[in-house]
Amino acid sequence: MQGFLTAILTPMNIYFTQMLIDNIERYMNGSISIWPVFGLFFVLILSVLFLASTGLFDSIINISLQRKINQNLTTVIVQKFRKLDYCCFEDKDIADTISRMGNSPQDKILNIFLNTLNNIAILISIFGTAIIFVQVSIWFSVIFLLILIPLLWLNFKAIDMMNTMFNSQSEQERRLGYLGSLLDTKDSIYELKIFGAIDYILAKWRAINKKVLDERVKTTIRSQKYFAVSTFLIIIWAGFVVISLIGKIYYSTISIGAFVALIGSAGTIVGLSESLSRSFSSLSQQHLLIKHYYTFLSLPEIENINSNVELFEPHIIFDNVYFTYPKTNKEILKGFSMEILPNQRISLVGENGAGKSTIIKLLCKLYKPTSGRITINGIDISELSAEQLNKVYSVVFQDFASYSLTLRENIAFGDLTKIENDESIIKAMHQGLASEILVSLSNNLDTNLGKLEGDGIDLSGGQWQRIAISRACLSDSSFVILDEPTSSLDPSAENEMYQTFSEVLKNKGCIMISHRLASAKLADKIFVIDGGVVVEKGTHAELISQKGLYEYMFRSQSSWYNIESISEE
Amino acid sequence: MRNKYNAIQIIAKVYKLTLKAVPLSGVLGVINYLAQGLFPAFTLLILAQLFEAANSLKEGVDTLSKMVFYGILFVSAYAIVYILQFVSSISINAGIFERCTSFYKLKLSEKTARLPLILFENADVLNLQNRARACINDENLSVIYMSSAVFITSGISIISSITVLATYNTWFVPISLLSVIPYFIVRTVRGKEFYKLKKAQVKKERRLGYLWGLFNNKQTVKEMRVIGFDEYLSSKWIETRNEVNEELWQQSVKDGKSLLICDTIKIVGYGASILLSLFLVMNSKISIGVFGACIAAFKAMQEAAKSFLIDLGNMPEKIAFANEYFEFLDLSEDLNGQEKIKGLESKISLEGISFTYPNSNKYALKDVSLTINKGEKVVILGENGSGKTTLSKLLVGLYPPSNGKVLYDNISLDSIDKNSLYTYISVVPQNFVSYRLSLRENIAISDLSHINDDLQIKNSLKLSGLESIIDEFGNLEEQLGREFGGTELSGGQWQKLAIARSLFKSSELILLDEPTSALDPLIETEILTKFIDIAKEKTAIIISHRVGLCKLADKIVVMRDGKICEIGTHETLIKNNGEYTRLYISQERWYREECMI
Repeated sequence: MQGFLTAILTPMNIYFTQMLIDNIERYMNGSISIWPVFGLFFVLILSVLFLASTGLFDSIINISLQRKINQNLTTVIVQKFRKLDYCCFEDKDIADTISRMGNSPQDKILNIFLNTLNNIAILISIFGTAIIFVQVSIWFSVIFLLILIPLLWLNFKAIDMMNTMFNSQSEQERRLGYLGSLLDTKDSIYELKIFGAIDYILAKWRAINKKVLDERVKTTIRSQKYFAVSTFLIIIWAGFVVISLIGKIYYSTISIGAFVALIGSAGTIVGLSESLSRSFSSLSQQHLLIKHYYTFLSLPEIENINSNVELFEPHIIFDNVYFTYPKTNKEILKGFSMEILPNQRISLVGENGAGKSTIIKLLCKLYKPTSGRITINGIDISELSAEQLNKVYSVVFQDFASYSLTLRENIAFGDLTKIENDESIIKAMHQGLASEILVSLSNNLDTNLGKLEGDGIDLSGGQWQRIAISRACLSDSSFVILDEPTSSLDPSAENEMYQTFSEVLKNKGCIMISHRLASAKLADKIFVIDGGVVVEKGTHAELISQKGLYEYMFRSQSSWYNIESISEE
Repeated sequence: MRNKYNAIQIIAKVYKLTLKAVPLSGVLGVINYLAQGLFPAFTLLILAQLFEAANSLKEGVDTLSKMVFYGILFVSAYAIVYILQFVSSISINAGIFERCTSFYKLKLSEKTARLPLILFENADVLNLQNRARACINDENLSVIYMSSAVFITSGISIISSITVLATYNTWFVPISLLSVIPYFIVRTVRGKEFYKLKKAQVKKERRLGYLWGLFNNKQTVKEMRVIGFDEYLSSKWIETRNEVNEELWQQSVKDGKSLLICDTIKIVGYGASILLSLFLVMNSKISIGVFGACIAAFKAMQEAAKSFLIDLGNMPEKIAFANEYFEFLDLSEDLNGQEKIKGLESKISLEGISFTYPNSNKYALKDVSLTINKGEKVVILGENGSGKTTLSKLLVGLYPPSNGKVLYDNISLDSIDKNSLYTYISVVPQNFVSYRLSLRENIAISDLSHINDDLQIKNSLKLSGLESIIDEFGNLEEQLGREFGGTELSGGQWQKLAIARSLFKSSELILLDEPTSALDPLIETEILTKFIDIAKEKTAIIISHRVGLCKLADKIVVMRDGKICEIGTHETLIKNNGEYTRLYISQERWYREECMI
């Protein structure tokens, strides 16, 4: 708001100054007394004071506005993230938009807003100042305002050019970011050092960077030309003004006050239009963000489902499901059918890429089948809410995440209603074979894990896996889904884990994916998946006797061990 | 946390780096600001003459030509300054900001690559790295450079304006100073407070950044949604964000109030200067023209003082960040020996190796002694946390032992030029990298001198069971990884690729750490069998959980709690009935037919 007041008051100020000087002159000539001079002087000071005090209100209003907008924006963005359709996270075209939203955009968006307001204020200032020139000759004002239009147009053109360029460079920027990350993380540096490939990556980075920078410089120069032209138009105008002012005062058609004031304003206008151009050019970078913001808000969301159906004894059926990942051509599931009875323990085995993890993702509603249905107790899962599904199964993913939060939170994520229930958490940790971890942390559930906090304890891969399993043990869901739950565990831990599973899973169903075929023995039923369909199913004994794919795989693994002690079977 | 370097040192360092990276832009930027600094004083002089001349008209002096001269000079001054600004703003943006930032980023990455790997286990170093990176991303160093230039400019502007004003009347000097000193005091005090607040908020900001990151990372998003804790996290985020904002808000209100006081004083000063000038004019000490010029000059000087102080206020924060960057660059690099070796002649020995991770008081390895002969196939077996991977990192010299020595053919690793050693080593780490680059690069990155050896690439792919990929993709330039529009591979395919990568490089020593964790039984068998075959001439060290593999090993090293508890072949160790047997039975029992749950 102060901007607008300034905009109005600036021309008035110039006018007052002009009057003041004129009156001083008259005083010097003895034509008037001192009082009008002092009077004008006070008016001038008052107007400046007034301006300054609005400054305080203004900054307070600004800041509270900032606060509000900040809060609103962030809430909007966070909520949107929560509702985004999962496939957006794997979509390369949207990756850009998402990563920009991920970078705390609310401060930048706010800046754009303030910047724009500022620009409008400057424009008004310029406008107001130009009006003053009416008293010299209406033509000055008219011509100036006429110049203003192409000036604005040129400025926008320049912004447009820069924007287009930034847009086209976003993928290169991401690549640069990726290559940079390779040189930043210990795992990649380890490899790259041994392979002697660090210089290669550096060279790649430098090459892309050079291209990006060169293009940017070129485009900046081209767009700056527009700014330059507009500024020069103004300078030429100012030149004419000065010359004609000199002429007028020579012929005494204007007072000295007017002369002083107007020459000063000519300079001011040139300065203002130059700062307008500069502010426009910084606006261009930020303007792109607004576009991304709107794109982001319009991304597909997951449906909000309100369903109250209680799912007792959940009975899961995959009915002839076909599935291809979005924007790919390879069909992963080709008519996959499977039935899981309540409390049944099943095991999914098969080669890599056969689709096992995909089945889990579909079951978790991360994706929708291309055709076919997945139902629980006869209801299509697309009609069930996330909360209901949470009650049916708890999951340990293959690439489970380790959270740099407290131990308590890490476990309690499995069932947040129990976050203060120490007893349940400790029990869940016991079931997940994570009790030792608790002991090593002095039984303090509120220990910070991970490297975020200074006092955070980082655990090993195997320990994190136990925490992930404890998380699943905490929940009261009917099924536990385990995707490669023992990959980071060593033999005896794995051993223990299988023992535990049979204990923990006594009252629950289980869907387990594992390469360690030994674990399949835990299952009531084993599904062998190959080429996107179920090729064999049955119990371990049945499948062994079938002497098909399963038996072949089992024999392969067991051949590593010395089964001669048990003799020919 | 005390700053290592003081402000002057930092500014000096920044100047040195900037002028090294972009000498032309650096100098041009300074010249531009110098010109801008002199501009107000210059225009003051011109305007004073112009107004003087205008005034003289009243006395009947024909000053037309003089006025025209000064008028044109006035406009030309603007024109020149804007040309200069036009040219330099491009060069400043392109040079000091863009190119310099790239230069700094590169320096950061190059430095990171030269650091001893062990530093990555140190949380303090990682934090420092983060802050150094943040410093670059926020373009702090460029801002320091420009700020100090603007600084100098405003300083020159103020001094020159005051000097000119003083020639008209010395009273201008104290008035000018008095009007800006309160600003100075308030800004410095407020600046320090603000900086303290920001420092205190660093932790919260990092947590915010971390939580925010959880929301746009598919790995965590998937868990959040499916397991159901996304609302918890978003509430946590909003809560912390609100806390941070509240504190900033309080600070800003305080700021606003003190700024009001400053502004009032400033205006009083402005008023006093006008009053003084009025007095001077009315006593005919200065002409009306000069009066007009003075008012303008005074205003300009106050503006310059304001921006001078704002820049000054921002500096402490930037300097602190810059400190982190330079501190990071000061970290000591990996020490490397001088002796170049030409491969392994007879053996690798570890003598009494002990090792502790930084910031830990527990031994990760204690008193480990081991000999690996050339051509041996060694399996290192043990439970999680037994020290297997740590041992492998010490073996190839990436971690320095706290005690003891690693010797290659009786030469200590300290005195060997590690780069020469690495040419003979190949590796598949536990956390291997899936490069979002072309298929060719993914394989050949292990031995870039042969990057165009298509035959060898295809061969390596075959050996690791990835022939189908060649047909699927058609050519080797295919981009991998969905991030850049390429094809995504499954976990197992990436692992096979990592194995192919290690085989592509013709090495004498090959180190595999859990090379088949993501692979299914059929392929695992196939690959391990093929591998043992390919590695016939090589010395191979395999770290694994899978006891079954041990039957093919020449030497099994069983580790527990950082120590070696058994060494031998499968046959000898089984007879021992010790740790090995325990591990063996725990895995093998699952494959016995009658073993059911």
